[in-house]
Amino acid sequence: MIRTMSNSEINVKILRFSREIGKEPYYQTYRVPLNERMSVSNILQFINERYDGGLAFYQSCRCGLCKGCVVMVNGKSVLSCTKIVTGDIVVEPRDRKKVIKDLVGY
Amino acid sequence: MNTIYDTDVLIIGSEGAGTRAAIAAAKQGASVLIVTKGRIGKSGATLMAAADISVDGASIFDVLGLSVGNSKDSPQIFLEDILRAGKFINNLPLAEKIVEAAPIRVKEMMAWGMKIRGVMQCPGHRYPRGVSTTGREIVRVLNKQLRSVDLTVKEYTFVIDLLTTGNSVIGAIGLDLRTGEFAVFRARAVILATGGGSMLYPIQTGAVELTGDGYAMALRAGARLVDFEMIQFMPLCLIGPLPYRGSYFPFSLVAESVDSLDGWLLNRRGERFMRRWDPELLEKTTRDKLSAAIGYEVKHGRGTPNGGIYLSLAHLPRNILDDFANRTLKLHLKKNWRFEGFDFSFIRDILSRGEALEVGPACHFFVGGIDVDLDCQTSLPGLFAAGEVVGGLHGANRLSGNACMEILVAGEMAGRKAAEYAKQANGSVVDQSQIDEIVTEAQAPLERKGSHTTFMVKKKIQERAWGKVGPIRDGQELEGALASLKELTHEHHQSGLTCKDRVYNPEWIQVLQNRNLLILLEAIIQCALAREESRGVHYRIDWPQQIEKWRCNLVVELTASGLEIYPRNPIE
Repeated sequence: MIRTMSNSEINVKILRFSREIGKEPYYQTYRVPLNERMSVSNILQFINERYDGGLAFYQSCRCGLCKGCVVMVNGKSVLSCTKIVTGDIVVEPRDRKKVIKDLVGY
Repeated sequence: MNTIYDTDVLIIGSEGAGTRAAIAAAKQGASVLIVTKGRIGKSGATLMAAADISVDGASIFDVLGLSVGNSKDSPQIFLEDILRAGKFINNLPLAEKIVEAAPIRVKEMMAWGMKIRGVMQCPGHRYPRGVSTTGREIVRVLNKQLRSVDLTVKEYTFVIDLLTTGNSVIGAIGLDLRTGEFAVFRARAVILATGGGSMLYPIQTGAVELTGDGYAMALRAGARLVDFEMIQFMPLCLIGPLPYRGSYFPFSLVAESVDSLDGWLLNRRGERFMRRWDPELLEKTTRDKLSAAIGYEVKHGRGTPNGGIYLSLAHLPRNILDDFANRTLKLHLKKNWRFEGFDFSFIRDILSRGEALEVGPACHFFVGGIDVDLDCQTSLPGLFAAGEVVGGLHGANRLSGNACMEILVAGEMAGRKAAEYAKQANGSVVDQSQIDEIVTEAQAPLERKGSHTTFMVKKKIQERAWGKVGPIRDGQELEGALASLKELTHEHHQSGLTCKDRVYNPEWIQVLQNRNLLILLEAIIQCALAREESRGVHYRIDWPQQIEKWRCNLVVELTASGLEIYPRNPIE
């Protein structure tokens, strides 16, 4: 339908943390192909299903209504379902003090 | 050792039906515990509702005190419309009870502060009955009310199975996603308010939590489902680009009301194929016909490259589009073509250029579901159900506005009746071996080194559902699908987790959901195969007519030898 973007890959750098493992939070970077329009949620799901089944993030309505998927992207608070990705991104949890795992918070 | 929670009423599901039930149960003096696998007010289907709440026209005037009511309408006429849409297999006494109580429940919501935007008339309703608000507003009002009663909410807890003694339900066992430990809920009564199962399909209008956990748990505990082949599809949804997949925005442009734009549906040959399906109403026909027609075109190789069909407005002068957006759509559309959380100005651009959109049907609503009596109690003592998870009210098809009506009315009923039941129920002792068995099965994937991932299995389940029990069905294909289920189930049992974390592990959540989705898929295939006719949302290519001898419900039960399907006369 819309194929305006040329074939390209982006870096997606995600702040990981798990209470269970007890390790300090750390950044992990994934290379993700961006051949079509994708939201931050689409990118996270892609990583989840292809590279890293353990990556935790929250999503529910996927259309900007539930406001459950707020994360920090490049330092700004966004809804991951409606934020369209155009280049490299750094994704962090909304509140680093309230993390259950990775991007899922209390 | 698992953490144990004691409560009078356990409610599984935290949105429309669940919160309304919780308020009612707490007001009866029962201790109430709500558990949800997501977050309260940030999950589920209610939030995403359009949303109109059906009330008969006379009561809109008499009870709600709104001048837009119509005294020519009555609960009886409304009921007739429900039966007509449901093709006369509805649970009539249940429908009567819900229609009767709807005005009271809506009036109560208004007294609690629910803002309304007017009353709309939606297709299938002979009078304007849709008290118009938003899903967010319903959730906001219910949550505000929830804070005024005494109860406990436990988020991020995935309930896996119900606990039983004899055939009574006495609690449930869940996985606490925050700790990775299991929690045992001992309850005198349990209410399922888990919503539908639209995640069984690859494209859905609903939220990601809707994996049909309630149906699967109910079946495993011994409860009955009815008319599980009845799946409603929203016909004109975006199938791409990815972020917008499943959005019903195109539907709201051309099909939502009598005032919608005149949109043409074209197949790959440019043929306006609705001429073959409904020469009179064309694209303005009912959702079920649109979905079946689109499914049929795609199946016969006449779809778009991405598996949809074309929606064209090219025959319209360009300025009509903006004028329409400014007037008719202004209820839904914010400035600059914003709809829900999305900026759809790119759709305006596509249409203004005279190009077509690729659209298709998305799974929207599970019309059938758990069989309940007039107290919202299932066939199992102590187990109640409310909302989309229940079957019966809608028969073979659901009218617009009746889902929001159902969550409020049945939610209240289930909450009140469960609290009453809890008062006289004896506390039962939970059988530890039952707990151990459930925990052992749920933990097994953690230990397995699987040959494929749980996400691969999910994709396969969804593809199978879409291909075989989507908007169109075919007897031979259904038989094939049933036979090949064994293989899919085997793959599910062989799937392992690449991540072994216990805390919020998406793969672990997925494998537990796949377990439920597989039961859903089998039940739908079996029912769709059994019903050798087309009725309501169920369309069989090989049996395209509605047949009088099939004016019956199909009941589903899980026995030791597997799923059993049998017909039953509609409850009148």
